[in-house]
Amino acid sequence: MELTDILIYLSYALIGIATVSVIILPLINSLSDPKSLLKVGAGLLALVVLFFIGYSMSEATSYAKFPGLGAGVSKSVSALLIMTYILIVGGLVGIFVSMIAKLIR
Amino acid sequence: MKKLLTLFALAGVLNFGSTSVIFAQDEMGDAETDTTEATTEEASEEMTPVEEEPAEEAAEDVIEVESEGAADYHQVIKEKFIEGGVGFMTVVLTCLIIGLAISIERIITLNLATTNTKKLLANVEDALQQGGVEAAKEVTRNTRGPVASIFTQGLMRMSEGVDMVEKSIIAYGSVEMGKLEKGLVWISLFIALAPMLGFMGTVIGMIDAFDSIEAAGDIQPSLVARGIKQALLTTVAGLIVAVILQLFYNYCVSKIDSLVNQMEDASITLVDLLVKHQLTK
Repeated sequence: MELTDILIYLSYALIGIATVSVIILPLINSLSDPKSLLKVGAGLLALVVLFFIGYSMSEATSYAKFPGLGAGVSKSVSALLIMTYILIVGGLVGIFVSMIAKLIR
Repeated sequence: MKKLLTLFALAGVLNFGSTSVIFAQDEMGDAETDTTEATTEEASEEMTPVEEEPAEEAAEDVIEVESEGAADYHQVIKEKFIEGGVGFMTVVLTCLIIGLAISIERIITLNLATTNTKKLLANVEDALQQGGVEAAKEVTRNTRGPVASIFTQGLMRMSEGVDMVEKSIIAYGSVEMGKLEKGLVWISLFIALAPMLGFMGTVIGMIDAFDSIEAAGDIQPSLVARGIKQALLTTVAGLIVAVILQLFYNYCVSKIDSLVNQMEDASITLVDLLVKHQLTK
């Protein structure tokens, strides 16, 4: 085995260990306090729901440029884009609503 | 009076958008009638130009074009998205989606944390005069936001003296500040990460383009231009993501700054109130 191979495999292993420890260790820590996971879980669930709303709104368009494009991929791309539009509008509406609420308060 | 003026200004700004749209449609309608007038005059001078109908048609056309334009805009973005490579573009867009989700959560949290400090201070002063520290504590406990929690912490130490109140206010203030800044690190991470991913997509795309040039054996303009164009799309996507997230990030940072300033100002006033209350006792 050459030195390059050793270095490449070592870097793979280190990346793997670092990633696993970043994901697993906080999860073990939060097991003692499940309420802290609740907020993150709710956020992720909201994003998934938003994705499915986008997915149901989208149409599978086919392009002459991309003949190998599947209907599922086309709909998923549309869903992601619609999700982004909704979130951008949501953020802007949040800012405006807060501005108006501040005036009323 | 100041509030009224601000409300008027806001209403004006909101109206400005709608009026400009109306003007634009009118102008288009006018332009349409002008051109119809000109053509009819050129064709035959005897025919009187019909002004009403073309204007209505123009208005209908505008609505149609607008609705088609919105649909087209989405299709164009989708096409570019697929052209840039679904894998890389999805990663870049995921950065935007998660960043926006965190931004919206922060915007809502920060706005719920905003309290009318003048009103709160007036209520605390009244409660101090009428029912003492316990009544003031009740008022602050029933009020939402970091300023009220700082006040509660300060009032809880009132029995130990004003110095202790000041110390606990400072300590609890930094805790509340940390809570306000929670999540902002992630937004700044995505601001940095999105253009980086975009550049990476571009560089990988360039390598692919050069690979195909190498395989073809000579530089065909169509081959090179297509590869480079596709590669550059990921950079554009990354930059757009960074720009959008930067706007929301700066809004959150300025909101936190104003909240912290409010917290400090209110705490000083509270200490003054407590000193005054102690002297009158």
